[in-house]
Amino acid sequence: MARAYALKDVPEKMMRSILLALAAVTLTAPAFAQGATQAPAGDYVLDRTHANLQWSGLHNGLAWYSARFTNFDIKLNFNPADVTKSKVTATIDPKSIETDFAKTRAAGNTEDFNGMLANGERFFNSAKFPTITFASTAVTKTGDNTGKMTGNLTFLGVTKPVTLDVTYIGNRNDPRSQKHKVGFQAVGTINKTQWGMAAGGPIADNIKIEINAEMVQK
Amino acid sequence: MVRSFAGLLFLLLSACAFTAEQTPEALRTLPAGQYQLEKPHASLTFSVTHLGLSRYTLRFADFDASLDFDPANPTASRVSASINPLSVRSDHPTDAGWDGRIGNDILQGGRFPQITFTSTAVEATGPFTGRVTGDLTLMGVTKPVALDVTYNGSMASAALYSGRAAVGFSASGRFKRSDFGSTRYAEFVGDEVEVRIQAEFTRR
Repeated sequence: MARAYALKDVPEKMMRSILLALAAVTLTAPAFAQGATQAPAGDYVLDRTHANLQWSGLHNGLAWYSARFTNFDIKLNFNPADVTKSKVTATIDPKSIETDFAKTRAAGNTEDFNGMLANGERFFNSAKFPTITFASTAVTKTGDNTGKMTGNLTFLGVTKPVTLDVTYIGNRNDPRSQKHKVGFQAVGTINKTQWGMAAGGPIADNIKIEINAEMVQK
Repeated sequence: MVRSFAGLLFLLLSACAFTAEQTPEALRTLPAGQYQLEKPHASLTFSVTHLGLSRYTLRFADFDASLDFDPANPTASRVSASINPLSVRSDHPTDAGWDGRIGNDILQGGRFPQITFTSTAVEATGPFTGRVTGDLTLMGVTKPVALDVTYNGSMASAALYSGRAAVGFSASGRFKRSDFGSTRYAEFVGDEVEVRIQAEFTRR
């Protein structure tokens, strides 16, 4: 038979779990994502466990061939009072390219496709150019949570400006590290031939880039 | 008269296209029938919001799909796919066991070794776009999910694929993981899962 429970019937331990659950729900409600101006100013480093960097290029006109770099780093000097004064630098290890070819290749195929892309002179040529770097030069706001970040991308020894569309997703205190975090997504398109990567291969010249990153207060 | 194998190959390849075209003509000349996924030229990711801060992105390295394609009436086409949940890749920088925990603990890949999708309806939304609705089975629960699909292009005879017909699509959709009984880490991980797919298919 059903009976109504009064709060006093709830054991203390269970009460504590309920309160914790309520606190968690409250914390994760969309409202917690405060304005960028409430994040502390200063230096932030990448939380590599919550970040990814993918690129894709149209392959033979059929589909956007997608791969990622698994080893990269980003540093942010965040100025919440004037986000346009924020600065970002990033480095990417081209040897960390991951295409999942080893899992998708036909039976019997033993080609080291990641290695071929990382080392091939027509591709990332990582022995000669071991690091891809980015350093921001200008940030403009385009909306409450969006902006454009222009910077110098150095790739295959060539430095050219690129502009990324950046979306500020939120900021909060990380319950585990107790440090403040800010989260961003950045997307952009580069023409790979401008950095000297050969044209005419199966991957079209324009390469889309997408970065998702949580930055943690240093 | 073709005098050599190389010459024959050249003649064959010169009848092939190297780049697909997103045109009604390319679509019309594509043969109807069964197409298989070209796995090295396909990708599938699930993204979820983490702490309300980032799009945490997981890629599945092992999945397969087959397409019964009707270029004359694309809405009569059918597609089915299966994903190995234990092939999930998060690229965790230090913890080699992390992917196993996502695959086993969150996606319950030991108990439910396949995530499957079977289309039930296709509607056209534009000349080269459509909406594919189907049944997604995840952790033993089956619910309808819709994917927005773009036909990127096709070749009646693709040089890359030994002269076989090829067609390529991009697709994206969303579902709520709670609809499939996945509520773990709800305090950190958002409910909505964004699915993004790139897929090249060739005629069997």
